[in-house]
Amino acid sequence: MRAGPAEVVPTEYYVALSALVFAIGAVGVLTRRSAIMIFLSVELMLNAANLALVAYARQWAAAGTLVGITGQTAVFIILAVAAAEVAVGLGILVAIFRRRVSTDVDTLAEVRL
Amino acid sequence: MTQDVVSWAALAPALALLGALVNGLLGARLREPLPGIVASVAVGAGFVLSLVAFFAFAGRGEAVVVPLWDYLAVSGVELALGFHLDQLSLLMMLVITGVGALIHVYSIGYMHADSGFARYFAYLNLFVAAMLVLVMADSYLLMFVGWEGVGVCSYLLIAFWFKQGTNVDAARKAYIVNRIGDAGFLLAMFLMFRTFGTLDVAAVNAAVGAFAFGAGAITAIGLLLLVAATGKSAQIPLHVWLPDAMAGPTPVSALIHAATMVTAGVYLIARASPIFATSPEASAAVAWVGAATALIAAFVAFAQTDIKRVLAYSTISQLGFMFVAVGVGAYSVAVFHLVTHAFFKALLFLVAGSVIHALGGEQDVRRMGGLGTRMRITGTTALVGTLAIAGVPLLAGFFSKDAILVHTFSSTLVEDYGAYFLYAVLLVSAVMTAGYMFRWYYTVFCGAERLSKATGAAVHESPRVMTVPLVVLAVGSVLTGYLGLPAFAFPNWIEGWLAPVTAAVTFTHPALWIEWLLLLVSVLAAALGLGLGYWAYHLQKGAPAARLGVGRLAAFGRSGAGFDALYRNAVVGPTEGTAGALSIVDRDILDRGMASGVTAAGLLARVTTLWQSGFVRAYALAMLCGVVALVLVVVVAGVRA
Amino acid sequence: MTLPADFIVVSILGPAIVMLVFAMITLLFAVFQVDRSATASMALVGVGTAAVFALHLLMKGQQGAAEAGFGLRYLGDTPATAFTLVILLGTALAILVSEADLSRLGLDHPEYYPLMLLSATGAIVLASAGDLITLLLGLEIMSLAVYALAAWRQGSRQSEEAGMKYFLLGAFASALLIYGIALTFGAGGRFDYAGLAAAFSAPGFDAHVLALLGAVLLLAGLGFKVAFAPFHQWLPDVYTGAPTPVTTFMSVVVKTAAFAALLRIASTVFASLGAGPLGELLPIMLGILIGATLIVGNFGALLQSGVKRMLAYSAVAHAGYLGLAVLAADTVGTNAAIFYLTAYTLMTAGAFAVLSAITNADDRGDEIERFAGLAARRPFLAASLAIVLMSLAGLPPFAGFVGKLLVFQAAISAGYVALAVLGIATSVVAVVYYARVITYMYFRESDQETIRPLAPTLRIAVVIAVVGTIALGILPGFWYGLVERGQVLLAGF
Repeated sequence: MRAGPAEVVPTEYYVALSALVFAIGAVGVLTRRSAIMIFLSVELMLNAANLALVAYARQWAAAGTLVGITGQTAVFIILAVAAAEVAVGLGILVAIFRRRVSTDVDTLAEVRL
Repeated sequence: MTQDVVSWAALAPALALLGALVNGLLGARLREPLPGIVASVAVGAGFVLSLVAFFAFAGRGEAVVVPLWDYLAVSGVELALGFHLDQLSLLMMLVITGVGALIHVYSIGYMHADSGFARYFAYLNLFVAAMLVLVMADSYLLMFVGWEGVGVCSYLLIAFWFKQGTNVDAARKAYIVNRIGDAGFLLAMFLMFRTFGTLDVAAVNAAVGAFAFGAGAITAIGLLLLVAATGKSAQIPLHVWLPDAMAGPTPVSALIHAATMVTAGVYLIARASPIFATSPEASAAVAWVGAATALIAAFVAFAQTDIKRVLAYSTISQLGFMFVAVGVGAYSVAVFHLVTHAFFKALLFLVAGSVIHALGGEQDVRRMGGLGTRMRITGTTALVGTLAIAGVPLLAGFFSKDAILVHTFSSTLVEDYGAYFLYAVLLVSAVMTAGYMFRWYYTVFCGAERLSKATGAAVHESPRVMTVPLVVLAVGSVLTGYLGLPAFAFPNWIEGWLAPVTAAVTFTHPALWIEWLLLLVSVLAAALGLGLGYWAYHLQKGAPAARLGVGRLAAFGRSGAGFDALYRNAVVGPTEGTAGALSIVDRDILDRGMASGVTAAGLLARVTTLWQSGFVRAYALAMLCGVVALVLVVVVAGVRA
Repeated sequence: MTLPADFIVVSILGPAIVMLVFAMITLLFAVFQVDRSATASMALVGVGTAAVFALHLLMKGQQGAAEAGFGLRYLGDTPATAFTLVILLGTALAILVSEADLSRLGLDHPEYYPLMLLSATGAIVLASAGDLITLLLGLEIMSLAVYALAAWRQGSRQSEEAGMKYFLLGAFASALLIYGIALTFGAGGRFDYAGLAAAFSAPGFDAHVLALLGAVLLLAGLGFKVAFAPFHQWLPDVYTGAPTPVTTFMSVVVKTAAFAALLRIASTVFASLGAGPLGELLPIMLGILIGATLIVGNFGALLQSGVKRMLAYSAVAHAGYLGLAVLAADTVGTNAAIFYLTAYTLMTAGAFAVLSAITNADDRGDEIERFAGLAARRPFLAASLAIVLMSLAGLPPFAGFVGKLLVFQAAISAGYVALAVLGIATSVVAVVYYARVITYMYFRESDQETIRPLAPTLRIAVVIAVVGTIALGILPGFWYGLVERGQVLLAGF
């Protein structure tokens, strides 16, 4: 599948790293109580996806697929999405923080059952 | 097509619907008895249309199809809605509109001065419309619309006097139990569509011919239809709702829970008769459900002290007779009993209503007695109805019940599934029917008066608007029997009339003397039942209250106490236990938001909401667990492959 | 494709562009402090204009209109335009409910309508996406606006909590989805569904496990939006906490768009994987999710004492029924889902509209006791709610019955008999909790104060919902026939 020179780092390495980062991000979402840290963990997951995307894009471009380059374009779109998410999320967080003076998400458990 | 007089009968449901709309929207502005008159005229006009169509149809073979509109086209199959007028549906329409019109008229008197007068007639008309749609539908899809419609109307009418605490619960219980049957109907419909590629009744019936006798798919459809019929027709184990349904006004019990809606299950099986005629397994299941119900409900009827609940169990039992009839393949006989039963049971319920009306709401038979002399018309018509259902010769119930017994005896369809046992069970049930009906009649109309002074002084015969329907129904309870005299020696009209629309099932024809003997046995059964009743309730001495209570059932067996205990433990126990369990389900699940959580549904519901902790991170954990599970499945499968 | 290419571009993008333009116009209205009801009217005009465009497209029944660039696709076929129409219908109803309610609730900040229109634009893009990147963009445009709307009631702990929960879990789900996109790209080298489907079913394709991993992550990400168990838990909390007009919008528009996307992926990417080795895994996993959703939704709703929360669980249950159509993943299933979502939009919006007429200004007070004797006090509201609830329960002759009939039929004809039986069985349970509300309205004495008069726009919304529910139930063939002309499209290109 890989057509590049022998010294090029194999795609699997990148993907393995990205999976690791993704898992770290997922665990962070579960273990952190601060909303800010949860945001950051989600960012980690998104960047893991970006890493996988560029790695695959390079692989497909090397394999001669014309649209391989789209993978790199997609990364920019995802970056924009991430930025927009953070903007909205921080907006909501600020609104809440003004009243509760806490970013602990475990205090958000009033509505249940 | 539109010039055809028969097709005008398709207007009958529209008329009833119009009546419902008028009463529902303008009812508050109409003064009593105007809503009742509107409703009665709407149904009466439907009866006239049906009658005209009935006579115009006589001598014809082809069904008249009145197309309504194209409903849907799924997977290239057109589902069109239409009415199908043939021998069976026209007969059903006559019963529904005929008996229905009488009950509407009666209700004008019965519901006099009720605050919900117009609302009552709106519901009643809506019911008639839905019931007509059910029997006139040319496809199972439209039949299901009517099927659900009558269920909703039944719910509305049981809960009609909703200010009395338990009535709403009874209505809801009836509705939910019925929905279990409806699920069977839906599944049957999907299976039919899959098997035959159509939902048209005639097309399905024609397509069944291509299947082998006893084919699995046909049996499955038959069993699912049985589930549907069991719910609607209150057969064991889904019978528990009908006795509670007596919470509704008595004319409602007469129309919906005796004469029409509860017979929809019998109608459904008769309609789908080619399916059952092709599957002896499904037929045997129908017959045995019916036989078990006939026997057990008859037992339970003895123990009842409420004037209407006796009749309710009697209805369940009689529906069991009809189920046996359709089960053994005697479809026209089942419809015959359906028709005669509609008359005498509607009569008995209206009699009960007349008594309740006269006694100012009293329903306990232990506080009645001796009313025959003070309510002459009610008493006389009650006697006619009692003798008819007991199976006294020359009255309607005798001929139809005898026909069921004979056909069960000589059935070939369920020969391998204990046809003779079925016959024996029915014979015992017939004896008991005569017995408990004697008890009912005797305790209400004969013997000493046990009324309280206040109610006793006010007892009066009901007004004409109520007694005239009683007399008409009493006449019908005699005459309808002559539609189907024993075929071996007399002309039998109904068998020939329904032959073109029901599947032909062969019966062995025993020797003539056996036929006469069976007839004699039926006569003896009625005589035995009435005689035992006379002996137990009239000749035996003792305190009236004791004689009339549950304990006097002992008179039925030689070893009285043992039989009584058996009956109480084996029948009332489970029956009331089931009812009790269901009412727990009702109370806890429906009303208290499942606080106790003892039932399976309650536990399931609790489990599903237990992990709804409110914490964001717990939700994220659940999501992640879901994802990890999915990923692991893929990885493990990938490694193994 | 006989039309000139340019024309197709303009016309298939029409609904989305119109919505975007009107979002900008209403934003200008907001900047210049124009009267709120004028803003609402303008928003409605925008929705109407977009609907005209979409209807025009639907009538033409274009068999494969698509716009491409960077290997991406925006589709204008029959399912896309039909879903667009359903989304617009839901938006219009949500705007009507909002107009009646916002000022009473003290929520009429000027940015409300622009956000709602933007979110609907995202929903349209999501429903029309022909590739994973367009899907992501549509999803985010739709969701980001809704996150803000869910937290709209400033100072209400419930509403803030709803917004924050929805946002945190939504971002988490988006991350799963995006990783799924990356893996799918890694396996197929494309983003467009058709290209992926072709790559996955090409001879010599050997990355099945990678593709499946991508598929399950996509399923999880979209499963969150449509609320399949176990990704559903946010829904009851968010629906309950958000202001009722926003809940209305979420329950109809967001759900429709998410299902549109899921259906398309299921019938292209998933279907092409289904033919390969391990292909039987995906339907099984999806089937388990759907079964769990049916049980959780229906039994969860049994326990609820608040009507709003009961409706939230019922939304989960309906996701299960719609899942049956996704599982079928063919033309019949798609058409069934379109019809079901149309019916669902009408009846759910109707139910929430009536609810918003009854609850307090702070969205509290949806306890079932409040509905006691409603029939005597407000016969119109009671009858309307009864009709939409009966339809939700799947009783004939209402739209919900036809919808259930179609999805069960789709599932059975695709061979998923057991799940269809489970669906029918759980719909028996559903009757219990819907009938409870009707019982309270009709058969309980009222001890409540009289309810405030009904706002005219709310009345319009209720009438549209009820008339639509009845008309779709009695004459389903008209709308279904219109939708069905599309025929096999999803896997087309």
